[in-house]
Amino acid sequence: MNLGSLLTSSLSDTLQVSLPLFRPELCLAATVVLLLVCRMLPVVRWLDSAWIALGGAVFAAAYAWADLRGLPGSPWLPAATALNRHELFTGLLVFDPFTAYIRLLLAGFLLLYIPFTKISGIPGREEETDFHVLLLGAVLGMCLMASANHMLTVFMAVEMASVPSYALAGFLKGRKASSEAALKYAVYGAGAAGIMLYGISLLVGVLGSFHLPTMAARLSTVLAAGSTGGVTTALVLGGLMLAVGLAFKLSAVPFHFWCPDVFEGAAAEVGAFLSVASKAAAVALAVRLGCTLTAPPLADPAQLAGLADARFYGAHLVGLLAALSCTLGNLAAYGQTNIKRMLAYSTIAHAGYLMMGVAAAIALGGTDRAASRDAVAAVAFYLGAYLFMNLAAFAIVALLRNTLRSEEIAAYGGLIQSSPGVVVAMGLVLVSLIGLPPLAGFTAKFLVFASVAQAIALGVEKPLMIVLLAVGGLNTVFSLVYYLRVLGVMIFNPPPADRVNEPLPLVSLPGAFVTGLVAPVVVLGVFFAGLYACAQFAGGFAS
Amino acid sequence: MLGVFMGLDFFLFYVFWEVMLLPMYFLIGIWGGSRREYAAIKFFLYTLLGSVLMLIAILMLYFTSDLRALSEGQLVASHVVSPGLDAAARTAAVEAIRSASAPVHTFNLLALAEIGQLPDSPFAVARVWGWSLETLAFLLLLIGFVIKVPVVPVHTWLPDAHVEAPTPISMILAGVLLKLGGYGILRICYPICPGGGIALAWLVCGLGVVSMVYGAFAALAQKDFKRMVAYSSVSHMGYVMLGLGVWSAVAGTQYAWDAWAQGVNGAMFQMLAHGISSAGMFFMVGVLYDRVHHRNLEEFGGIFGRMPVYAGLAVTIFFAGLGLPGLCGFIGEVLVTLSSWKYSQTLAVISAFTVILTAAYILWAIQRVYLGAEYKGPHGDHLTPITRRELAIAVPLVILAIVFGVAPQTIFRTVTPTVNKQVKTLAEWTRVVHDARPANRGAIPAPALSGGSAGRFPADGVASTGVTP
Amino acid sequence: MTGHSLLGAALPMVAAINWHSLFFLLFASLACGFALAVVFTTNVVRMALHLVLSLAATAGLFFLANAEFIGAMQLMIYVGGTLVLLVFGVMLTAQQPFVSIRTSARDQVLAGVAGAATLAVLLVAVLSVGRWGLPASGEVDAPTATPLGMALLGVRVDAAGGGHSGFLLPFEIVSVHLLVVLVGAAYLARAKRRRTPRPVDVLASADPPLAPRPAVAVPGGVTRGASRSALVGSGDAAGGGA
Repeated sequence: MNLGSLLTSSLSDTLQVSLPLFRPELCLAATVVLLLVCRMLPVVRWLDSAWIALGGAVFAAAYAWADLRGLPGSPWLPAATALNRHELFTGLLVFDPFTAYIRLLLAGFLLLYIPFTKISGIPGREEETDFHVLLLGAVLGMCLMASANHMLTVFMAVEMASVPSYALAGFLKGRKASSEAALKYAVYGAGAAGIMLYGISLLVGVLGSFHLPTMAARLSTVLAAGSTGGVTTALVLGGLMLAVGLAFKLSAVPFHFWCPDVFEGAAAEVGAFLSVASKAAAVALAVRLGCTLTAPPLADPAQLAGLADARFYGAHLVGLLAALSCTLGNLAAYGQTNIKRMLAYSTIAHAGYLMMGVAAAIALGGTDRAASRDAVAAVAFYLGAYLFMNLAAFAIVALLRNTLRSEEIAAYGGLIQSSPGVVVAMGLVLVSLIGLPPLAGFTAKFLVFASVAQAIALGVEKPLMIVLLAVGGLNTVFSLVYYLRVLGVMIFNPPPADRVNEPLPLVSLPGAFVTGLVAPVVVLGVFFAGLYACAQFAGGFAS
Repeated sequence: MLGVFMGLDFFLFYVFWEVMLLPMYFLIGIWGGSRREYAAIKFFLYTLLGSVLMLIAILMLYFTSDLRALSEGQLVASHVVSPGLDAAARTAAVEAIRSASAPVHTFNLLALAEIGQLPDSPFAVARVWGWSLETLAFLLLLIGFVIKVPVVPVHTWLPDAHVEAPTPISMILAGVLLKLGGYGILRICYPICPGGGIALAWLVCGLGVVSMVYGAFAALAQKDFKRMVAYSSVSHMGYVMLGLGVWSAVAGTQYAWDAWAQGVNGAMFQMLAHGISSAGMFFMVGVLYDRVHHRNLEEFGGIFGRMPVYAGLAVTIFFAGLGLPGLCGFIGEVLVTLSSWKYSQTLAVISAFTVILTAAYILWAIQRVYLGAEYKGPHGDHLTPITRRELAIAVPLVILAIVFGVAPQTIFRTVTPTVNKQVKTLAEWTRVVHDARPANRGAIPAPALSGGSAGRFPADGVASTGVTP
Repeated sequence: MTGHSLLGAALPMVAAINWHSLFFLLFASLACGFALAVVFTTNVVRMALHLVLSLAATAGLFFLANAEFIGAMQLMIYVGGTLVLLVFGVMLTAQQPFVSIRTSARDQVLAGVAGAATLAVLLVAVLSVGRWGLPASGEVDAPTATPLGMALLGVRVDAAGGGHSGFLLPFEIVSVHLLVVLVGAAYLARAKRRRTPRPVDVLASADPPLAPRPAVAVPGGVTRGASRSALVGSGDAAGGGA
């Protein structure tokens, strides 16, 4: 094969296969450039950069939607005959239903998030170009996290998502808390990235490949060949260090220290971004790494059997982190007086519930592909519901901050009298976060618990799964107290004496926006079939 | 609440069960007394803990269930395959289920019950940490339900919630909400996990008797009128538990199911009677509280002189709660006590003696509040006679209490067929299936098994056996 | 023993020295030593210098491993670019309290224990691996930069059999990433010029700003120059200076 033919084949692969399936990311990248160009040209400088960013997000979402719809076997098309899996850019990325689903989720998040920041007034007029550039740059990295198929892309995508987030955390310049938050986030992030990189190099060094499916195949061979002590130690350590990097992104206990401080210091808008988009991408990456490395797509039974130890290890590692995050997140949320800090601990706890689903998906991967698919589907559905719940919670916090001038829970006293609509909205969101029917949070939690219970019924990692189910159930009960306390303050307490009573009616732009965010929380609780069908389709990426 | 009583789908049942909680939280939290938030959140926490355990049990049962094991008749009877279909379509639907390659899971309560009573029920075969799944699921469901009932170790939410809640909410709590627990145990625990029911019958009965006695003693010690009534609820609901739990249809009694049926019928009746008497008692306390704004038992007295009509109605209702023959409280208690004799004579004796305690605290309360020379407490001048609006609530309750006490058949006519059918099915199940299992055969000397085939009992619609007092 | 015989004995010894190992030991100890020096120095400028030396020694290790391209990149990017920038930054922004960094004894002990434990675990793990999963032969002998350059464009001439990734995507996407990060850095470095108050500025709990400099008092020197030269700073610098 000579150079010419190599070039031609590479060119055609890139242009005809990879780039068309990479359109949402290309839209985001182009929007970043467009934002900067518009800022420099005097003719279009008057143009509000939020609209440009929103336009880019619309295109990205439209392409992501078309990609998801167009895949064979999607809820709109007849079932696929072969596995939906296209490797892009010579194996660096993978395009499959899961990629498409998460990408749609992230683009949809942008569609809701940009109007939200426009309404809540952060960023201001002078700094919004910077804000949107950072935002789109981070989301671009998150899209890559969801579709990574190569350790190089994994690391790069994590960095691409993190570094702009550090700057976003410090976006409120001039506020000490914000700068501190950014610094803390950046330092912890750099440490975690270093550890993760070392873990990757250990794994790659032992397995001799960067390509995830190839790594899984070699892992199977290495494990099946019997234990030579050193190799196992290196693999275990590599996996552990890789998990540390992921746990940092997920803000899982014990790598969660940055989370409450960053959420408290940064603006509520940034908190919404970190808790929804960043978490979704991190969970997606955890699913991708966990499932691909322990039960790769199209693996033959011998290979799957060889990976049994890897699944055991992965499920226990993720399960342990899940149980810890859930419990500590919920317990620590009790004492909080600042609503953003409380929500930070709540996101830690929710990361725990999500990881329970991931642990079940990993554990089931070798025994029952359909059950594993359902577990991934539960996680994907949870992410969809969580998008609306948490974005709505932070939106209400941000809008209340604009009228109340405070982010303390105590300042919410007696809101039921001045703005009953917002209290009802917040109530729905909080109850959904607890996970009570008939709201979206319940359906999501039910699905995750169901997949853990299915693992028990199938006898897969039974002790771990029983513990997870019990921990998850008890934590749901724990979480009740602190969520309801916020609601109780809003309804039962008298308003603070120094309240400047500016009601936040639902019949206003912010009110309508909140209503628009809360409506899906209610609707998805009852009519969950559509989203679940998509999630199930996404979950079937490996089978 | 209606949804809970009507749901035949386990998932739907759970959803309705939970949906009920939040409104209750707000009803107590907004209109309650001084410690309303504490009481409301305590109520919510306890019940949510119960329902989460229930959810775990539901999930485990769901994933162990397998519709393929059921016959066509059973599938149609449990409405998995709609009986409205014509024969060909029905056969096709059944065939589709039975030929599925993977297990077909279900939330259908009737189908789950059919699966639970199969000879080789997957719930009995599956093991979790050495327990059979049906025992574990029974236990989890039982905890979920008894928190609602409530029985003694988990009853502490009840006095708080009752004391802080306004009168109408107390009436709803006592009249309807507590019955959800009993309903759940009867409708869900026993049919789906009969093996667990047999294994844990001692627990159900024991809890019942303990809360009976404890509730009575606690009621004796109360200074707060409403708290006393709340503890009387705990005591009364203990009878319900005992009645539900007496699984006396075992080998030793030749599978005689009438005693058990008597107990369950008594429990059902007791639930209804308690709904009337307890709601009435709370209402009577509320009437007094509206006037004098305190509930301290020590500071009442002489109400008979000040409000004669009210006091007459109130004493009638309290007697109904006491279990005086001729009033509704009596029937349930006596049926339960009688039936428990077959199961355990000790428990029967204890429950009979509890009646004395009940009489003690109720009579003592009547003496302190309604009798006596004159009213000693504050706001004495507010003790106006009962209004017409209050009469409109009190009189129907009193009439119902008397009617049910004199003519219990009005209730038994509707209740008994269903109860008898279920009890009979389960008694038959005990004989044919449970005692035939190798694990159980050694423990109980097996009587002649030749008497019956594995078929179902013919449907029995006549309600007569063993329930007429 | 005579001098002649000494020489005679030494020559084979010199010839027997494994120069590769010797240089490896040299570079490795340099890299580790200067890395330790970074940790134990308290002066920021000295730290930066030690870091330069440590990274340069690491580049030497890459050369020894026949990875000339990476070694050159290490020298160019880290030693030549990033670190020079770092030193400039330190020298320009260093204010008295930040020039020397001291940590408390407790923190030092904690960090020492944690670091030593991690090092021990890693050493045990790495040294106990008997055989690393090396790439198959034929992939390693890439003495020129051409295959690397081709790989960055997505064509792997060195592994024509397929199954090996080209690096077109990272190469291109990192440029977008760097652009975004540059914007972020410019934003954070830009002096605060605010005309309209943000909602969050009136927070009841708002703390005093870190550097309460009004817009007019922006020092005309480095900071503003930097922001003007930055991509986004150029747009509204005109309005901010007045």
